[in-house]
Amino acid sequence: MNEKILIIDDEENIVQLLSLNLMCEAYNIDVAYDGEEGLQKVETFMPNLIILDIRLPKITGWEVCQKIKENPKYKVISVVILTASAQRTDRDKAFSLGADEFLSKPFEIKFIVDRIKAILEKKSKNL
Amino acid sequence: MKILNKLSFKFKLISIILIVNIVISSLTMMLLHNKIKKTIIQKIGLRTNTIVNIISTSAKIEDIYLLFSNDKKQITQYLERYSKEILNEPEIEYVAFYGKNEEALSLVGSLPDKKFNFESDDINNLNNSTYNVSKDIFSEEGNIIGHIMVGFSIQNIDSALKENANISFKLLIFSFLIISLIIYVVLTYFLKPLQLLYQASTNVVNKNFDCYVPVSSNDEIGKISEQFNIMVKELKSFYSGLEKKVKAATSELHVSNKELQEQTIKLMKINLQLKEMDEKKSEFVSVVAHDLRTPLTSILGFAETIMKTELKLTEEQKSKYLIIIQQESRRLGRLISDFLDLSKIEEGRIHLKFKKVNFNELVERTVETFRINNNKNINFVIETDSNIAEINLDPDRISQVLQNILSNAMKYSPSNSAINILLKQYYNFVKISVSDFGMGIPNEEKEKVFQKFYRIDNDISRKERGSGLGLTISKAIIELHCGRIWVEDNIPNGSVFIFTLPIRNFDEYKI
Repeated sequence: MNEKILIIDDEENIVQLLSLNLMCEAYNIDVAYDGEEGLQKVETFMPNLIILDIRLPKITGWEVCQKIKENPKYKVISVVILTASAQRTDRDKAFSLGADEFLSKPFEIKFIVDRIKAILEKKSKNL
Repeated sequence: MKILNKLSFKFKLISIILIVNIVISSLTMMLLHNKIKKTIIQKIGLRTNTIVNIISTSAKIEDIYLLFSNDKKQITQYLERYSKEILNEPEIEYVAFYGKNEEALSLVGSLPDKKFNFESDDINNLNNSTYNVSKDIFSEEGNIIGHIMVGFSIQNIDSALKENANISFKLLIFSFLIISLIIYVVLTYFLKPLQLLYQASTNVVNKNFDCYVPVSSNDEIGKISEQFNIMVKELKSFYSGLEKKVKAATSELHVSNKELQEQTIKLMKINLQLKEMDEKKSEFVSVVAHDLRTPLTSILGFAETIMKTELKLTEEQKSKYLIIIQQESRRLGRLISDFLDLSKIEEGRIHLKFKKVNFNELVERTVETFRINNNKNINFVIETDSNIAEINLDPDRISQVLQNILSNAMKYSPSNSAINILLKQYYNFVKISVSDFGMGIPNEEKEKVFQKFYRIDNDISRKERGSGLGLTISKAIIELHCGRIWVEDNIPNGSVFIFTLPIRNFDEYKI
């Protein structure tokens, strides 16, 4: 079964860009455009990994990350924060909330894909 | 020495005088005592010799010898009787008569144990309680016919002398006491000014300068007291001057301290403001950076995607992505110019180029560009007063405001709806309102839409994201024209953006 990735970003172009390139790597992709929708999709879609923006309508990425990491049901889900903010404080906050990776925009697609592959491989080995 | 220093001056003086007194008195007494003793003893010596002479003479030894014709027994009886009578004198202890061959004739009284050597004791060197006096008895022709020895008791003299010494000693002690008392009284009297001086100086030490020492004499102490009074007076005026100066300095210090505090508070406020401004600035920078990165991400990402051969994209897909790149590039350009405009406005660097402009024409021209670029088939309707005056304004900036309002209206308008633009002239201003039939703006957000980076949270705003600065910049431009901008509800739905511009003759100026 293909591994599932949920992309939560309010920027349509970026969602399109990521899903296009990740689908090509044979991942199962679902998308959400705000925090609320994102949390719903986490429950229904049960992804292996979430690509999460921080500045989201309704519920911020921080809250989404916290809620996922607090819930033992979602323990296995890796969270990759992908944000246009490159501030050191945001990076520290991401890891303190339990995020698995913190990546900044703009990015090279190849780099993002490689990182996601690495995280998922590591996880499957550990399991 | 330390203990000595602790003693009072009076005590020391009395002690010294007493010691000197004791030494002198004792010496005097000793000398006097000796002198008296010597005189008495010499007198005793003379007297006893005389007495012995008298005794021996009155005994008439020669006659007795003759009378009793050398009958020793009778001579002895006679002499004993005679001696007994003499012994009635209490000072005489014994009387002894001896013949010319030193044989004892009569021994009456308590004789000493030692053997007689028929010599008198040295009067100056008595060591017994008895003084022995010896005399030869001569005949009329001058031949020695016998010897006499008489013992005088000198015990009384000794005790008298001792008593004398005792009384003298008592007198001495008494005199010491009297002298001490007198010295004490005199010293107390003389030292009284010194005591007053001491009290006064204690007062001065305690900063009580209103104390003068009475000057009762013209001696050294009087002079010192006088000098002291002068000194206190000087000190008083000096001190009060000093106090005034200190008070003045203190109040000055107080004032300057207060000023300093005020300055500090001012500085703190300024610092706080600067800090806030700095925080706002860095927040602004981070927002700007964020907003610039977002389109850049799309541009770079789609460019990379198009170049990826393994995706095997169709031409149709590729051109779609190229359009995205184009759109995002335009967006990036708009963002940059908006950011620049905002920073110019915020720093007060914006220069309006005022011109007398036909307002109708300006609005018409601006709306026309939207009519051409109209993919929602929106009907732009302009209603205007026929004779709106020429207005002094910056046409580029006012056009920019209108564009911002129109593009917002268009963004939220449903397809095939209308956007109505109404121009109306009042007594001293013109009013432009732009009404759309979109979703409208909730009351609580009507003010916020003019705030920096404020975006209404909905699907439309997400899909066609602006800089979040358009209305902020518009508001600033209108206010620089001394006009007003606000938003109302359109009935039954949608919103109306309204702004006013004053009609007046002002020349080109800078703000």
